[in-house]
Amino acid sequence: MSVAEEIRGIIINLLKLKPNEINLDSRLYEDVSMDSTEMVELAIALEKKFNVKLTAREIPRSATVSDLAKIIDSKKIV
Amino acid sequence: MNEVVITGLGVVSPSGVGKRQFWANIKFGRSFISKIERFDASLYRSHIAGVVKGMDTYTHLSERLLKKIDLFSHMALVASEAALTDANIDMQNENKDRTGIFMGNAIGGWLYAETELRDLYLEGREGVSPYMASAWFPAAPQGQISIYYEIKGYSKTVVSDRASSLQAIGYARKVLKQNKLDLILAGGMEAPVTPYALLCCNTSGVLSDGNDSPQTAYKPFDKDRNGFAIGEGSGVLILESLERAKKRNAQIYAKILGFATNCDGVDRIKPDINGAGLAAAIELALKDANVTPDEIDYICADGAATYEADISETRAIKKVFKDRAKKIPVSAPKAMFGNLLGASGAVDTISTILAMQNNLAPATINYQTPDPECDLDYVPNQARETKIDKALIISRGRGGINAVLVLGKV
Repeated sequence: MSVAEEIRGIIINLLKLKPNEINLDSRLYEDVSMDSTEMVELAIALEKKFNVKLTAREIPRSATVSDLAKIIDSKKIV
Repeated sequence: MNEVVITGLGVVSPSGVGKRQFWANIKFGRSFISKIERFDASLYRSHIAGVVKGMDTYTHLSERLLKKIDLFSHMALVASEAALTDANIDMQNENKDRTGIFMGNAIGGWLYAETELRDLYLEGREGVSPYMASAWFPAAPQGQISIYYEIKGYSKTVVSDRASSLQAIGYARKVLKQNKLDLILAGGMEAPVTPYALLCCNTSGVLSDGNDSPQTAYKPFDKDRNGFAIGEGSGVLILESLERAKKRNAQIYAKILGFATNCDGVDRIKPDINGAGLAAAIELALKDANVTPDEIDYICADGAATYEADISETRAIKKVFKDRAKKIPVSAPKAMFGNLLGASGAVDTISTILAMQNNLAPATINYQTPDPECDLDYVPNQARETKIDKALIISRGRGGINAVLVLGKV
């Protein structure tokens, strides 16, 4: 499973979404209506899952699920 | 000055969710106090309570929201939806800048907070849910209701122990009287059936230890009283001006005629045994209502079932109503579902409105042994038909907080 698919699964689980409510191009704020606290929860979950350092502030307002995967990938390389 | 009326009722209680189920159980004097099963409470001096059953069945909220809020917010949201539906109000059609939320709560959302605090000590700060900050505090339900309905008007959460929600209703009326808002959701919510909250209630020394017989443990005004049982729940009422209610052909339950609140200033837990402060509050509320003591047909008592509380409440009623005191039905329906602390005044207001509507005074259950010092008509054990045009509701908090509301039929 790709990092993006894994992130999608984490978001579905955290926000109790139906799978058809989010795809890899979904924008976290606009399409999934995530609020700032949900973003904090997601950042903590991603830190644990991918063993990286990530804060909610590093996630741009326009970010999609795929964009988030790129951020995680860049951190893993470092 | 606007006249303020109540046009919608929403109740979530151990005696039932929704006004019909709630009233059916009140009418028949059924007790819903039972042993606490949510956690092992067996080592607490008092380990009985009124617990709400079936929230999963009644909820209209998403899983996504439920995981972020405490039970007390959940109950307040369900009661708010029920009250709006009952009032035939669709918030989408209302002026949200002119709508407010006035809620009362005593202790906050400890079911959520305790779990997170345990994680804080076990796992460190990263183990704590980011929702903790917005889930536990007493004004959290106000915030959740405002977000859910996009309400933006002047709003307030009152934290005044067991007098909280009656004060919230009293203040809401004042704001509507002054025409600062068009519409208010007023009431309260409490979820004290948690390990820490139960501990705090126990250490106050005001809870019944009648654990062997939970349904008969809470016995207000009985000589063998030994404190109250806690309960969880929420009551929400829809308040608006009489003029507006008439214009939209709303069902009008009652008019809020008067309100007063004051303090005893005697002890940090117990009320003034002479009931002087409460008597003064009743007199102020009657004056505010422009109603004489002769006009009151029913009193919904605080009925905390401690020695000082019962005697001082009885003395206060006798001081104000004099010779007529013994002729007025005075009852404490909360002995059936538990003392909902900060939500008790709102739920008492709902039971009193239903009592007025049905001309039936609810019983004080578990009344067996008369106390010579408590010699009023407490409507013992069985509800009684009696015409109720005007009623008085009493809520009292620890440390001698008194709140009194006067209702009248329209």
